[in-house]
Amino acid sequence: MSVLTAEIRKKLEQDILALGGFRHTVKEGVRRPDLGLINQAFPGGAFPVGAVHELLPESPEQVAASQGFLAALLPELVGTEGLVCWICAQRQVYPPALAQFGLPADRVIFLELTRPVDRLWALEEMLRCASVAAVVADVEAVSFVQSRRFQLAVEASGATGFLLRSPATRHTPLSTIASWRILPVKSRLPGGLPGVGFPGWRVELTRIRNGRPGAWNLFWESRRFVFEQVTGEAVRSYRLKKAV
Amino acid sequence: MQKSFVCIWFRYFKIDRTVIRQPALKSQPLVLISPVHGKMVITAANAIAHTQGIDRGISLADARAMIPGLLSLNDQPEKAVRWLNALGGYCNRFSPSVSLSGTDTLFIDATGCSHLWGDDAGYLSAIRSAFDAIGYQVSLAMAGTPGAAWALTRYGKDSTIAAPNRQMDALLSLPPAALQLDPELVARFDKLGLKTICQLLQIPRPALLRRFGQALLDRIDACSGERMESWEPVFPPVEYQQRLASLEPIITLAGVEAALQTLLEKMMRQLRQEGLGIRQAVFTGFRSRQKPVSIRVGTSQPVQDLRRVFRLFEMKFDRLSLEPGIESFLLEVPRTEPVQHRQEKIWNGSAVADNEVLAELIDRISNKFGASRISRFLPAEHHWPERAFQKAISLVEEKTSAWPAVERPVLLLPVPEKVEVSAPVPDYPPLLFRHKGVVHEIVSADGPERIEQEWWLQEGIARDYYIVEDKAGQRYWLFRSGHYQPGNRPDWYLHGYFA
Repeated sequence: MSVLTAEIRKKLEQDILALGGFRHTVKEGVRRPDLGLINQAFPGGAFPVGAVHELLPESPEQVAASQGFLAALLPELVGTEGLVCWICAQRQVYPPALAQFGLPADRVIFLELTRPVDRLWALEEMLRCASVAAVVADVEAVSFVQSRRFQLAVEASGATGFLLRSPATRHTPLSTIASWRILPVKSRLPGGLPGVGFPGWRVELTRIRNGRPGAWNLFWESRRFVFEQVTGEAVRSYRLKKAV
Repeated sequence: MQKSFVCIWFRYFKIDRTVIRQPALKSQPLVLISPVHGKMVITAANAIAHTQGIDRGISLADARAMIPGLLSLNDQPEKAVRWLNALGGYCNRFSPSVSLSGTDTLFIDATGCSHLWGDDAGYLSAIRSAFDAIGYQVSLAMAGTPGAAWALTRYGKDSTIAAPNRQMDALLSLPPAALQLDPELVARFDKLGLKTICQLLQIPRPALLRRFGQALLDRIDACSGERMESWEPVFPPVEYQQRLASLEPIITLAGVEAALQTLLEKMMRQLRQEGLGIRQAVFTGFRSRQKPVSIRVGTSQPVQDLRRVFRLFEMKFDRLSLEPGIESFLLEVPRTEPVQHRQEKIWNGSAVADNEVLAELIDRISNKFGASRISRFLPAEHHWPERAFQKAISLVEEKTSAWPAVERPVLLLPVPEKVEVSAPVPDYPPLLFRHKGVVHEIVSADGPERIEQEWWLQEGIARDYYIVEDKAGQRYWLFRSGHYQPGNRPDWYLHGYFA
């Protein structure tokens, strides 16, 4: 009986999503990263691939945290063979550091383009290319129309895009599926050992289409994610603050 | 195969060039001057000045006495070769191989070229009218050797065509100076009454050798074709090239596209037979009276796909200026590489390094912005952080060593930034540091990790690195530059941010 209700429930949820305009456009054979606890926040209970996400770092520390989080997330998305494209104005990522997050830098193609317009062009072309599974891009001013174009590109190709938006221009709303903030939190070391331990981040999913925003503490321990749920209060207060 | 060469002598090269730039000077006596031993000496004179008795080597003051209204301009002898080189590029439309001589003569290797213009006479008149149109006065001659052609332009009748293998017959009536000899030797012949080459050739060779030396015999052999002269083309000939001449000047982009398509089809057929692919290609259009226009594309892998190369060219069509119409096209492939035929994958893998689609996109990006903008990194076996990685040569180059297993910051500053610290004890991590006016209180730290300069690459002081974490959980990579020594406080720097 309970199995049946769960099935009916799932079916109803999917119907509601479909009525809400959420189309399940994931292609066959596309990998979906498993983010443990965070999965519950996503529509359909799985990380949205074939979509564009935005990350909103505000300081160099948060940029580093976002880069670390992406370096840990991307291998799950592209597999052990796939290539990642990283578009930036001037490369700041330190290639030897990526390997410790499971993304060897020899699988990353860096594209350094100084003009923002060129970066947007390259991003759209890359997103349209079915051979690139994931694209990360530093962007400045992006218009809503451009973000729609990115969305159309990924719907056709199945790639996943991550926009690292600079603080100055983030108030333009974009047609992205989710907004993230990744903040560094105090590292963890088992048994109270001295020194700096496993890196940890506070992952705030501040906006997710058809999903439930939330915040989690995430640690990168021995090449896997370890989760800690943060109460919903903190996120809500953050969102209210933004609204004011 | 019977060789043939065309010699083009620009009788008033520098003057013509000046007049082309400043047409107002055309109908006046004009000379170019340059200072010699403190006085201005004429180095070139135009035809009008020439007929009034002004020649090279006369001082400007004397010339002014002869023609009061004589115009004079400063000579730029160092530029003459560059201009001539440019004209050599212009001549590429007549033959793939063009060579310079001195500052006023061009040689064209016309072997197997003239039939494209009908016959030899048609070929020469095409060259003449091309230079007439620009405004250069030229003397032309065609012969089986460059030496004979040179002699005919200087001392023979203009537009002479020496019969194949009989160029010496055409030279018989010319003076010995036509053999490009030492002026002293020419003066001696003059004294001896040897006025023509014919008289010279009647003397037996051993006597010539004894009296005048080997150099004379070498020049005679070079003109007759017994000995091959060295030939240095202005542009080294490219092995793979295709040409297309158009009946009428092409002014529309559609016409250019059609020409490129035709040339690429021919080129691909040739390359495919030899199992080669294009790595670099140049498409050139020759315009009448103008510099040739060309676009160059490069690829990251050898390409045999016509459409792919065409699209790379297409992106650069806006750089082609078609005015006043392109007369002939040239497609050159300076770099080729053997194509490795791979077995097609049944399943199209999501993303693999040797994926055609991705390689094509990378080519388009690198042709648009430059190949230096795209990079991929491999580990380099160095401890010094800035040297721990290197650029990969290609998209498919494999790493030869593993990435280091040590903790490194995800974000490394290009230049370390100075910070103020308070450190309690030498060799201990600091208690706090100030960066850009913000104080970070350190709660936990790892280190030091001492990294020495590699003396075989660069001398300098070592760095002691600490991984530190502040109260907010933000992690930094700090280093102290050098050791503590009495009377010396080493500086501290922030070098990176950990994730």
